[in-house]
Amino acid sequence: MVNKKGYFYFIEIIFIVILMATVILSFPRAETSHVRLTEQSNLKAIGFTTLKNLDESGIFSKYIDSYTFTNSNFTAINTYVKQGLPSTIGTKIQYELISNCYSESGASENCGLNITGNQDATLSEYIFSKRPVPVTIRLFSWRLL
Amino acid sequence: MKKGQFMLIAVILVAISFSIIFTYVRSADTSAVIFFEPNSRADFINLQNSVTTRNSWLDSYWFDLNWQNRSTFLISGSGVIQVDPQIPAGKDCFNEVRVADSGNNEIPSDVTAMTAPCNVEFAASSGTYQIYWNNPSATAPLYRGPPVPLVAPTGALIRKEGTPTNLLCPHIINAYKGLADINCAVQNIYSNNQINYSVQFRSLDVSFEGSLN
Repeated sequence: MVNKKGYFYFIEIIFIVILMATVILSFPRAETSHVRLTEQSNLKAIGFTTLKNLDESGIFSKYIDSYTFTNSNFTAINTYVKQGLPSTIGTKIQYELISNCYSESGASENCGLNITGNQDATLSEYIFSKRPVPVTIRLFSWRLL
Repeated sequence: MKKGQFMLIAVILVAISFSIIFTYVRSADTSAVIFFEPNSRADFINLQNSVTTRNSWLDSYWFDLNWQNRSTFLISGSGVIQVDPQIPAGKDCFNEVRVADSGNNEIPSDVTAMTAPCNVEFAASSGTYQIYWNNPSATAPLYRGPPVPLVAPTGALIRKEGTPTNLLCPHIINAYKGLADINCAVQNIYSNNQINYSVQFRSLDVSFEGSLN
């Protein structure tokens, strides 16, 4: 009897663990190993450095309109950002201004990545503060290879 | 099977499950499991950088942050001109009005009335000029004489603006409210157009409370 009780007890534990694992694994997946996590951190740093360099070289000041954000030259900014990164990295740019988000073409959109199949994306953020109302430039990036 | 064997199997299954859970994190920046809290050092560096670059930018953007408003004019031609900065009625023109060129250099000027509405007169050449107003603690500059005769404005008003002093902190708080325990406020203005921010940023790996400029 004692052995039977112990048997059911362990079966219960196994079921609970399997259940928990199933629930947690149903979250969108971004990383499959510690190596990938390091890669993601590197991507984040690369993205931030790229955006910072573009700001320091005056690109954002030149192409982001100081007063009317939607008048900015989004094509030029896209070109500079994408050329500053290796071709093995996929990117998506998003701008946030007073809680409103804009796509890389300047169209209004929901905040976040909103692209299926790119759960590996890393987010780099840069606050461009050289205008009366600051803008956060978000760079989602992911490895293509 | 013996009790010990079940125990061993259970332990192995638990270990396997946790190792699988440990290697999965949710998309973008938010971790799905408590082991992988996002690294917020880069975010704090971003915050610091935004304060520093803004102060550097303000140096060329605003003549003096103690003046709350300005009107920008595009002037064509050279000579002594009069413009209407559209200062709200009742405001002190004689003591508070200042004129600056595009390099934020103060230009001697006169006003057509002690209080608004008033026009502002100054010597200009083609380019952009800013008329600053709304600083209750300002006193009349030495070059200011008695009110000059009113003539028709000759410069084109491009825009009227308020000071950008209080616009960075709300943006920072909005950007990081989900990531860290964040607070930000303007502490004081120093050197005319530089701002000290009082910042509190607490996340799992960064803890900062102090001034940034």
